Amino acid sequence: MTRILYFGIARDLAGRDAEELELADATTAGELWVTLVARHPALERIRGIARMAIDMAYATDDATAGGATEIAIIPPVAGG
Amino acid sequence: MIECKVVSTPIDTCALIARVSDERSGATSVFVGTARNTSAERLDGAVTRLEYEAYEPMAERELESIADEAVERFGALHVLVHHRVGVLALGEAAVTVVVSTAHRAAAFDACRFVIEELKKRVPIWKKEVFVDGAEWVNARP
Repeated sequence: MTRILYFGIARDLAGRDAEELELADATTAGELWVTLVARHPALERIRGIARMAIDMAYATDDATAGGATEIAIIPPVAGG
Repeated sequence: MIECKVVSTPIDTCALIARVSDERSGATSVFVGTARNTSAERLDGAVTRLEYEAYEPMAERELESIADEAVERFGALHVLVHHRVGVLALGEAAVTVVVSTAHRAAAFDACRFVIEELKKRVPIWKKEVFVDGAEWVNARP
């Protein structure tokens, strides 16, 4: 199982701060986005501006998400 | 020394400055980011408080990688970064960056580098709470 974490506005849009999903080994980050938007349609609003971190490293859409322990949806950051 | 922390209690900037005292250091540069009552959205002073949250383990990891780069690029001797999370009243420090180097130019440059990189890539989010609502900063498509 892979733990999906939602932060900031992503948590508001998904209506939760985390969930567990079973991902096929070959699942890419881009495919996972499609799955997550299907589960929580409001996430579509930030699809174009949010990043995904796979096991705490920023990932592009072609990165492998299957087999990860923890994947975070990272809306535009605003530290400082 | 490199120390990068996400903290949930007020930041003691003076205590952080004291910790970078070092015979090799000729310059210490400090940046303190504080909670302000205006924002890009609301220029009318309507912000009443800020709420910060972080993906803490990744935030500390990204900050450490930025601090490592500051050592490599600017010869920083010490880099301390503490970033606050939770509810901040106006005027409170959200982040303090302390950098010490042998000479002043590198201290200024390294300190600026750390805060600019933090703003680009450290997973921390800020919600501005107004007198009449609230909004996550930078979250509009």
